Amino acid sequence: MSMIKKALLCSGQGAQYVGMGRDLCATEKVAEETFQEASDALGVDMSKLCFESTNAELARTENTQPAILTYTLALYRVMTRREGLEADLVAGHSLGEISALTVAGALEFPDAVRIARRRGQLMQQAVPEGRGLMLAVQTRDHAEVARLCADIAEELHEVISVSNYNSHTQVVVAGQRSAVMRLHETMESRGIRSVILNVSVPFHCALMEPVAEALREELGRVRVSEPRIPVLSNVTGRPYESAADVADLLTRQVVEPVRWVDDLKYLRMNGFMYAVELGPGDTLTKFMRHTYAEIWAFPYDREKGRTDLGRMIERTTYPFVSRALGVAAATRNTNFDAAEYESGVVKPYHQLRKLSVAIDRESRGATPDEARQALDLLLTILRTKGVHPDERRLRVEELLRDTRMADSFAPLDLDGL
Amino acid sequence: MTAANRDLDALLSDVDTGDFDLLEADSGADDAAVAVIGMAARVGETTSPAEFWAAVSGGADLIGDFPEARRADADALKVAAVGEPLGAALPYGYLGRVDLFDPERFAISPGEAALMDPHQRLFLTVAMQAVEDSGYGGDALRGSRTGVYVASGASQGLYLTGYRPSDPASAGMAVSGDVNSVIASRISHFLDLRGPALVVDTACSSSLAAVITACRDIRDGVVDTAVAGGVRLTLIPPEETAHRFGIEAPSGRTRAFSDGAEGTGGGEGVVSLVLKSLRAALDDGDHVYGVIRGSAMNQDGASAGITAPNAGAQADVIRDAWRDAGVEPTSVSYVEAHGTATVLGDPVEITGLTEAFATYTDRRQFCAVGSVKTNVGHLDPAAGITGLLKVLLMLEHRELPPSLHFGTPNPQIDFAESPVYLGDRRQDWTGPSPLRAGVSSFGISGTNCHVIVDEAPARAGADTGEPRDEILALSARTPAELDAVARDLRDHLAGHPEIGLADVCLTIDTGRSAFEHRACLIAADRAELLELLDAHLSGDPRGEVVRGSARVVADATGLGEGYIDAGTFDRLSKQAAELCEEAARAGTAKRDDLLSLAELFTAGARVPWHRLFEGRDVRRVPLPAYQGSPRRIWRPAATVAPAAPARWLHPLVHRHAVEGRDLDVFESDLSAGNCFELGEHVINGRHVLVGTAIIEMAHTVSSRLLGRRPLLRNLHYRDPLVTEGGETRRLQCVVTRDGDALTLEFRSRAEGSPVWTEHCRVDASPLAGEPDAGETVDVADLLARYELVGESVSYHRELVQTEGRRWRSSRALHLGDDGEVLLRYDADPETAAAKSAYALFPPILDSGVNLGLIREEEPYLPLAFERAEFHRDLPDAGYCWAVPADRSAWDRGDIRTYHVTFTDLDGRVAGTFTRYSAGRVRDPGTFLTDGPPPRLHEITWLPAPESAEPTPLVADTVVLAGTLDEHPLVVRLSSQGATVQSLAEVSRDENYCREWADGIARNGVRRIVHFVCADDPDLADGPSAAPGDALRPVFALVRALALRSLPEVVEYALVTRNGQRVRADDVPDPAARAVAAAALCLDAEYANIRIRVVDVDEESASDDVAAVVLGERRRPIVAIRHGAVHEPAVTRLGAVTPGAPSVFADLDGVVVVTGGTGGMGLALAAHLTEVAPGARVALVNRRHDDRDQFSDLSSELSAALVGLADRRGRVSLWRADVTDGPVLERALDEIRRTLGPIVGVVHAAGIPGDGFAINKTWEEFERVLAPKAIGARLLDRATRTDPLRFFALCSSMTSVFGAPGQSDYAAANGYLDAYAARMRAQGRPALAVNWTGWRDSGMARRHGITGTGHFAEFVGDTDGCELLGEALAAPSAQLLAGAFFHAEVRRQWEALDRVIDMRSVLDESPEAAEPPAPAAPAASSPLKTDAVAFSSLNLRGRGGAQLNDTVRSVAVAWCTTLGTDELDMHDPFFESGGNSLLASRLQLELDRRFPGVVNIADIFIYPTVAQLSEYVDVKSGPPRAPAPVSRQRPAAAEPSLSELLDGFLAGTVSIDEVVDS
Repeated sequence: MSMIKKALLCSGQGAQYVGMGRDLCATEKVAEETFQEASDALGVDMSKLCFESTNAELARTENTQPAILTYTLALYRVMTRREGLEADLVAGHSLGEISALTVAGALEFPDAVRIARRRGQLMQQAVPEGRGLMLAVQTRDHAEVARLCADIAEELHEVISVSNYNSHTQVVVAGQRSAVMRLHETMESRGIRSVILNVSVPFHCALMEPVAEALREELGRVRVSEPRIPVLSNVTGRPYESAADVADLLTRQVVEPVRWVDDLKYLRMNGFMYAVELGPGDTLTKFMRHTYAEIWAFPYDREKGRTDLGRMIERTTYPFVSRALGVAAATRNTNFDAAEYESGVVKPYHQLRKLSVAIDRESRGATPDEARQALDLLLTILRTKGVHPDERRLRVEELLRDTRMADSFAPLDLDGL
Repeated sequence: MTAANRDLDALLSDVDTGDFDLLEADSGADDAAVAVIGMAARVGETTSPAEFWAAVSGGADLIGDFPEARRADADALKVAAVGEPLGAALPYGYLGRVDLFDPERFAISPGEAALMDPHQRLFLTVAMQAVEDSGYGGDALRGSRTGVYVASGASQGLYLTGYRPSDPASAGMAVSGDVNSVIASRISHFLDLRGPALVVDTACSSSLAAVITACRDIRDGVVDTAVAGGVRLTLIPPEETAHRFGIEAPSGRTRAFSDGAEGTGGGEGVVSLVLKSLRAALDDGDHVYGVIRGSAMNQDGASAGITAPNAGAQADVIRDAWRDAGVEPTSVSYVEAHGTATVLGDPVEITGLTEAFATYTDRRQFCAVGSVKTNVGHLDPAAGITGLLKVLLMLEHRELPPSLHFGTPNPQIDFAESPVYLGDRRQDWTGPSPLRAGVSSFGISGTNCHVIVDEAPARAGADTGEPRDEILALSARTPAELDAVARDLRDHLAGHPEIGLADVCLTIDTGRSAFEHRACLIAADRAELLELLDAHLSGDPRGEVVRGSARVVADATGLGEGYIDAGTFDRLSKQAAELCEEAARAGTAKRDDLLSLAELFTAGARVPWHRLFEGRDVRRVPLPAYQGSPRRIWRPAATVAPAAPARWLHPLVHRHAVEGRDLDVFESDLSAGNCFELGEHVINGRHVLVGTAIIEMAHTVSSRLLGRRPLLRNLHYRDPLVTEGGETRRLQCVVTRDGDALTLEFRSRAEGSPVWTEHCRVDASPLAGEPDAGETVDVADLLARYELVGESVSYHRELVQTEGRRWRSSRALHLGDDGEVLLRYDADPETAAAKSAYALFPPILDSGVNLGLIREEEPYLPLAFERAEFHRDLPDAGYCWAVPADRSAWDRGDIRTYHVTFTDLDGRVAGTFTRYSAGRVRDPGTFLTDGPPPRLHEITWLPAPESAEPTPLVADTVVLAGTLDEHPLVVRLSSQGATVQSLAEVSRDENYCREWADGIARNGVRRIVHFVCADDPDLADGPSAAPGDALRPVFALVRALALRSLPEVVEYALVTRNGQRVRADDVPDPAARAVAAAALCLDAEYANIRIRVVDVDEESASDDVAAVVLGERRRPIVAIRHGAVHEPAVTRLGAVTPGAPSVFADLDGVVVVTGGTGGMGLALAAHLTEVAPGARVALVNRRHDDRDQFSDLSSELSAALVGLADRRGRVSLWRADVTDGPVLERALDEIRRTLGPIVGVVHAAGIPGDGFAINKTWEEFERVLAPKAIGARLLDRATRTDPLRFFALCSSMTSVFGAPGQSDYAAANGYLDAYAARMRAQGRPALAVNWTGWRDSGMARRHGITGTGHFAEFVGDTDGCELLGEALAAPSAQLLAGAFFHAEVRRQWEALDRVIDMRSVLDESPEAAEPPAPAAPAASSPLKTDAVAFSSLNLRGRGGAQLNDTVRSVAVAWCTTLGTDELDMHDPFFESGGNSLLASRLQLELDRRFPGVVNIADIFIYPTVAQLSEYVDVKSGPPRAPAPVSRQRPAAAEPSLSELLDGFLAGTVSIDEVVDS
């Protein structure tokens, strides 16, 4: 974990647009390669689908899902290279959860693209065209909507339930057409805004049950690794505990509501400062603003999002020497030999402080020499204090990350600390 | 071993050797240690300790924006408190909601709950959860020695700011709902706790001080259990702009010990802990969260400043705490710091810690330090206990959570040399057992607290006994809640596999309240219990699940299932007790017995569950507390929430309320909150609708009606629309249509007020010409010629304040020659977005129309315009161009007129104003302020509401006819049996009067109709008759009656003719008016004579008069004109047009002032000679009378004249008696001869009245009457040929309102009031001014009357003169001078409004909404409306019985009293939230419905709706049929009961005795 926690948010379906990724591929080789990888995995020209097809073609669920996943991964790779940003957690909305698992290394990208396509196909086939409907309701009273769904379901003997808890101000309901229309009328009569969504399939409800088993089979065929960084599940609102959960949770996700608000609450309750939205559009950025305006979100698909993110990274980068001093002040001492402490902690601590003051006074960054010197002083302090090697390593890694100085110490042998 | 006895210092003397084998207390219970056995909390947005821990351990920053859900409430409170809407709130650790509460769960009525400060409601809720968490809910603590110790940041009356209770019960509840100390006692009251209940206040350290106090009381054996807590809410959030204490962090983040520290952020929280001695807790099998081993409190003493911290004192308090706890300092591995992140505070705190540790050890950086303030900010009074809660959770989870916002240390802190390191990462907490921490909390008051906390002792092995069947007893108030209880428990158990079955059953069965809806589950192990909970939830029938519900009522007959009576309850409970007894004896309970218990419990029995657990190794475990059904409870609404904007036609025009052929009405409900044109536009602290908003509304409305853009013509502004606080005004635009010609009138009124204020009128017609007429202004040319002087218009900011960016569109101001001005404006994108809903966006229009005033130094406000024509909407960016009109007139006068043109950036014209004019504000400092509310009022006569039929005439009426005995009415009354007597006969002299009165008393006469014979045929030419002729018989007869002891109240109706000026063309008779004025006073003097005056004119038909004379009395003076009854009302004088010339300003000639040597005369002399260089003043007074007074006055006069200095030559003193015609005329002749023409008269002569009529003679009466009345007549006659500019008659408010003991004085002034009107009718410039009194001088002062307690203003010398000048400029014959004190008017409302309609006066004040007392005389019986009201109630317990009207009415009264809409027929009042205050309110409600049937004691005796209804029916029912008397009491008991009752009411019998019987 870093001092400044940041998350990646992977988009779900809905904001795709023809042309997404075109500019990115034109300027970034890694993006072009990503699209090529996807094309190879599916045997479909992904670039053509994303850049040259029609909106209707792209909006076909079996196309949308792999396309968004591809663009999300392309953005992730570009962002990592350009910004050097290492996230502390990743979450994805609905389909985006597959992207998130891919970003975290739990799924291989070609597998992920295939799963996404299969998921899209299954969903498309699960419900005949026109039978299902989704309705977005603008309200803070989520429980009331859930209650109304239950009442309508009981009265009409039809499927209707909350499919997405998207933000503090929006829930989405999915189900059979007449039941959803009934809810729509109820909302209208109460003066609550609700909008029928332009989707051909009612996601995340019991009507998706036929999808679940087939998807589980599909997932059983791919290799799943332990994620490098925590990935949040839409079903539980908590991080995946292990790779073994992936198949189960991804399967449940298609019939259970997307608890995106719980994902966001997890970020809030764990002190996340900002998030980067990967994928087309800025839907998740808006959900964040309407749920926890305190957590910044930057849509990387947008020029402004990229500029603001750059500024945020700039603003939240610690100066190396003074942060090293902070680490020195925040580690426990188990060495009660006064003389050793004096020479191995107090003296270097004061030197470190002096160095920090001097650099601060000149309002500049540390020179490579000064940084090296500061790191030496810090290591002396940690060693003298008797800080466990594991913690020492963690501390130094974190220091380098928070100060974005990893490159300056490229040959550093962390194991030898 | 008690730690307190140790000599720690001695033990520690060898500290340097590192020998620490001292003073560790044995890990078991020592007597001093206090266990924390229960906890509940809501901190920031977290709603439970578990959530709070997840946040703290996750490193959550709980600081955030003020929750939207609370904004409207906070806004309304702020408006009520300071009259301003809420601005941008600082980021804080806010609670999500503070309005949710379940009143019934605490036996509080919703009405009372709404009046409880949220601090009380939330603490009560959280404290109860803590108690349940400890396993001691239900009746477990009832009657126990449990103390409550709370720290609270009271809202200091804020919650109820501006709330006006409507009755005594509400007032009482509002007091207890607001008192800070009640926060502690609410829970004591509800749970019947007998220990002390204290609120502790040591500022920021309060809650830790509360915990320490609780621990000490436990140690000292004062209490066995303690509930400690802290509450901190910010009902109105702090705002970004507010200047606070100086330690407030602008980002809201508390960066404790960090380089980036910028002060303390804040937060909200409610925390409660349950404490008990550790030994007792272990003995009782309680769950122990942690152990408070010791504590200390001290004071900074004489530190640098009272708010400055003191490191030495902090070190002391920490050492004292160690000593008290008997712990080794190096065993402390974590300190929860106060950590306020202030420049001074943080380094001092580390210094204090260093100093404390240094006494015992030289170890460094071995102890972690952190502060929960970095997560949630400073919770002020609740801060310390929040830190303690965090530490308890840390001990439970054995984890060190991160302290946030620490990158680099505060440079003032040398961590390497300190004993502490900053814990900035989440880490496992390892160390020797027990883990130990300190918690610091330091008050800004200087009181420091420190507490030492250990982790809980390890529990011995769990119950190893045989698994056995256990019974779980759940209950709730509704079936839905019961499901919730089961669900919460199931979910909790699923997440806590370590919790054993027996422990669950012990905790729930013995530690929760037993409510009406019940379920029992019998399980052999945990797994089965979980299964059964699922079965219960899914409704599966299982033998092990028994469900039922039972409510105990006095009589359950016919009520069906769910009700049992007390006898059944006792029987079932006895069986249950026996079964438990048996089980306890046997040491186990058979499954069958458990099933029987389940049946009994679900049938309503009280079961002594604890007996099932006796002698077993079972413990209480934390399990979910009962949630109840919290719902929104908030103070009675003061304002109406704005309707959904989406449904409005337009932001300013909300509804098309009436659509007619040639009449349309548009309505809007405007308040500062929903209308920025009002909310953001402030003049002298009041919200004033910007004038251009009316233009936009006129444009919108007429476009809509005409179907195209309008030409607006001849707009005139009258009074502005002003609101205060959250007041909402209903604005109407009334459009009358004649073809395409519209006339729009704008008016508004406060909610509930009948009085409309006129704002504006304007004509509209379709605009001719093409939309794109192509007209342009050569902007380039203007820009070239004009001089750029600045960026923006700052037009009279000192008078008009506008807030917000919408008003900041001006970009460049250019000044040309001849007063021409050009303004470039440009709306920013946000403003442009808002603007798109408007045609003529008022803020931009406003900067344009005021442009012509840009050079003026004094403020002006809009008056009128001739034409406004807009072919297009205002562009987002463009120019406004103002060109003066009538420039030559600008040098004179106070009006500025100019033309304004609006164009886009290319100069294309969007629209123009022709001859827009503004008037100078004459007194900007007080414009619209409370300072001077309206000081001049008129009396107008309004048609009275229809009244009841006349009562049939009976024989006990005496008609006194004067010269009118041929009057048709007299004839009619006589024919119906009234006795007609000759007035002249009975009132001939005192003896006759006395005899007559004897006759009235003896014959039981109930009504006297007295025809006042005041017609004075000479009046047309000039009065000759003595003004007292008509009055004398009234005085004499009333006096005679008053001296008799009348057996009954006598209605005394005076019929006067033409006494009142009801219509503009009425010419009133002064003598008749004098009678009426005197009657007002006489009516107030005698309780047994009810006097009223009915004024008639020649056209009044006798039937109409009879109806009023014989009908219900309304106000004491009424008038009949054209058959309609009219009542007088005090109304505000219409606004005086600006620039109206003062009458005094250009006086050239002599002003005669009678009573001239009174202080008022002198003041007038001084004033007139000052303001009018050509004025001379002749002061006229009597010399011979009042000799002493005069000598006194003459010295005063000399003094005053000295003060007049050079003007002295223009003031002269004349002696003449105004009641002596020839003398007066001679004096006036002399004045004309020597001083010049008389141009004004002020008749201020007069002597005060004195005493009740029974104590005075007619001669005394007349002596008061004469100088005013005769003086007026003679002065009038003597000045008819003078070129008078004014003739002022100084009258008094007494003639309008009456006053006991003032009949003569009121009569004299009433005479003047009418006389002035009479003179006006003859074309004379006369005015009667009704003064309250003159503060500095005048009669009131001389007689020691001051303004205190009076309802109207006593004017001072200077402002009195100015007010007189102002009054004389008005075209009225009678004006009430001096502002009304609204608070006092409200206080004396009944007395004042009884006499004259005062609603319009109250309407002037901000809280005008409604008159104070619901003056509903003889309102129709509520019984009729009850049937309707009843249909919205949810009445339970009716069984199959038919409900009669009585039950319905009683139920409605009940619900009205308790503020609820749900009730059970059989719930006792005092268990439904009723209390003694509410009982009296219920009695009143019932008395309105069943007069005289129910008294207060009955409510104690028949406490349920069922019983009360039956009682009412029995008592008021049809004559004693064999009606069943209440079933509970045999009929024979009735007499003794009613005797007891009488005794109770008489005070000889106590209520207990009554109830016990």
